[in-house]
Amino acid sequence: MPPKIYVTGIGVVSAIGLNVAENFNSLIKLNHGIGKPEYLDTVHSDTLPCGEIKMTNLELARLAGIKIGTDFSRTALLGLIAAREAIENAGLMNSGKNNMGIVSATTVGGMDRTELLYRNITPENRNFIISHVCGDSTEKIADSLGISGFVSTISTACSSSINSIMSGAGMIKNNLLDRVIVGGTDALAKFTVNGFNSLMILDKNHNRPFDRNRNGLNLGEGAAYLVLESEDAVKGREDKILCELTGYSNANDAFHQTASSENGEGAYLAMSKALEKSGLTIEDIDYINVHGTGTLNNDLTEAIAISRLFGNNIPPFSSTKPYTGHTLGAVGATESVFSILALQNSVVFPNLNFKEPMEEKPLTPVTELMRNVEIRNVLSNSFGFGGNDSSIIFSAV
Amino acid sequence: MSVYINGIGAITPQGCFPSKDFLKEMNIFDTGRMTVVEPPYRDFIKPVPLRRMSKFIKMGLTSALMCLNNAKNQKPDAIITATGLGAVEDTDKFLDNLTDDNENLLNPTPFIQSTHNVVAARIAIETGCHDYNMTFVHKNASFEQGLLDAYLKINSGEYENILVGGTEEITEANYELKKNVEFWKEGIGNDRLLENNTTKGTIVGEGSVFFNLSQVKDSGSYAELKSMKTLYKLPFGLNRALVDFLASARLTPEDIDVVLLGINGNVEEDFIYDTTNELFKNSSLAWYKHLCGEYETSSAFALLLAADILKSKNIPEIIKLNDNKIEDIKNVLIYQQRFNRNHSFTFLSKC
Repeated sequence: MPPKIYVTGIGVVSAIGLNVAENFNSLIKLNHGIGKPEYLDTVHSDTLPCGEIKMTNLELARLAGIKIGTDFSRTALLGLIAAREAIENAGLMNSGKNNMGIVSATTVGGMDRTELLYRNITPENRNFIISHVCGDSTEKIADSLGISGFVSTISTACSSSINSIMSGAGMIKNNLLDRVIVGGTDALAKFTVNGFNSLMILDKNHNRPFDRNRNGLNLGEGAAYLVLESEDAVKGREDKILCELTGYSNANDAFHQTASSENGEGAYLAMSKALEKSGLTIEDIDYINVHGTGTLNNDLTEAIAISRLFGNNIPPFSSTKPYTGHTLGAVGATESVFSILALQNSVVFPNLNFKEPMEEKPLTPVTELMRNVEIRNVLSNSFGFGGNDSSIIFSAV
Repeated sequence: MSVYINGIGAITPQGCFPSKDFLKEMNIFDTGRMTVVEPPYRDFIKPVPLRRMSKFIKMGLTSALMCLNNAKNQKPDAIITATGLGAVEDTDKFLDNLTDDNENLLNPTPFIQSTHNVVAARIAIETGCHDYNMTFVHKNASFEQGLLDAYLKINSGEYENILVGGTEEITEANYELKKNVEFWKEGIGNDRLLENNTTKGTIVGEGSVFFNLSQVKDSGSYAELKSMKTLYKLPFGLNRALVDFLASARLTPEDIDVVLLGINGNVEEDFIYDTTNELFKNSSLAWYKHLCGEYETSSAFALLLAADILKSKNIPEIIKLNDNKIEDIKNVLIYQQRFNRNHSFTFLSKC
């Protein structure tokens, strides 16, 4: 038997809350965070709603507990807030950092500063060049939390932070780390808003995953981290165990850089291999937190892949992207936190805005909050550009 | 399971590898920037997709395919790539367009191709590999972290063979931008980098190097990969970290025949390597950054050299830092760091 891996801490910041409690509260009260961006300076602010965190960088810095005027990108600030919450939740802020590592994900790193400053470089602001690269946000978080040793960054587009969870888990499985902080962070940037807009996959209205009339995604920003620990590391602190990480897998669609294949091969492989790794069967999965971005392509292929795997036995499923928007490098970890909250609180969060099933593959997600549901195992999906598809399974202990 | 290097493909400032003339003569650059000698990409990539690809993607995909050819392997079981900077040219192009055109009517192609995992994705499409596909992006530790991931997955028996590589491009614009925070030694040729190590800065480089790792040793195998580690900061110093690393592989410094060091001619960094002179008194010390330049995944170039040294049983004269003679080269260690932050050790043996 391979060693078990436990989740002992979670932290999240998103458009629906600055910590886990606020996020949970919004999720069960059906309060979404999609609206006009006020802090991101873009010409599209009136037409493209986003899941923005309503705070300036200065306010975020205060919340993160760091000195104002430092060279933190918004991405690093968000990451630090969520990572600190996760480590505090695990009770490891003041001890237990020996042989603890961090694997963080981001898609655009410090782009939020770069796009504002790169044409007006001054001696005072030139450190944006250093904070631009993906690895910088991870090091800023590690330095602030007193983590050294294994410090790693992963970037595989929208599946990035499930992959960072997977990578950290691998380090524990191979006895190279006792504990690891895993997750991801991404701030809203003109770069990504315009990128997705140029692909014509941004909805001008509130996103509607799995709906017949869905018309694209809304971008969001945020960060989420989990603390993973080995069975041995958690001895004596068993009360901190939130759940077990039982399955995870990454597969590739190997079809197109941005579009997914007709039969959802990559998604199907990711889900089925994660299931195989967990030793569970399709009947054991009680809830799927789907990737469900609201784009025509993703939702259809994801529905096809789910049908291929689960047949007529599809468990309750929902996309939580109508709450937060698509937070790119943070989204897999954010939805992992939401999946763990579902597990802990016996609830299934609804797929907001759903009205009519898709014609081609009519699957109906959960549309109202379900309470008192027995949830033992949750599957969460994240699929990204480059056909990068990842699935992860959390199980009650 | 043991892990063997069975194939290498590289596009570097010293030309492509494998080729019989590799390092016969050193290519000299004195512009502060070492650029790769590009192969005829048309031999590897169809003309239509080739037209749209940035140098980053062309280099990455082509070196990966060269590597598979070298390993006589059609399809890897999994693909792992590494890049510290990512797709610089496409990212800058999209950023410039959105800035110049005030966020209107943008061509999506550079955005689509700007993701850090674009090379890994391209290789997956080209080889039809539907399995594990990962991209590590942690500065100068990116390649070693990818290599470790590949090593663990073969060592555990999960995969039989994995393609792993590091790719970096340096554009003119990025070179100029980085001048704001780093020093480049312009006007000094890479052949004279070491003589000019009393001033700040180094020479920047680029390249793409891929390896096919396998649990099966064959007649073309270069070396056996034994262990590797990345360390963010060294709270107990380099000596202790090196000795601990070797001890975990049941080795002492005396067992190491060749040490490849990431010396780059920067007065603010090269002193960090001083302790290795004492620790590896009898080893052949060597360096490599005068051949490839300083870039985030240059340790992939170092691994190429290390693997080739073990296979050819020969240390090229142009990389030697001392005159120690080694009769039988069995063990090679690579140590590199940047700004005393990310350090890495990679150990391999003859097979």
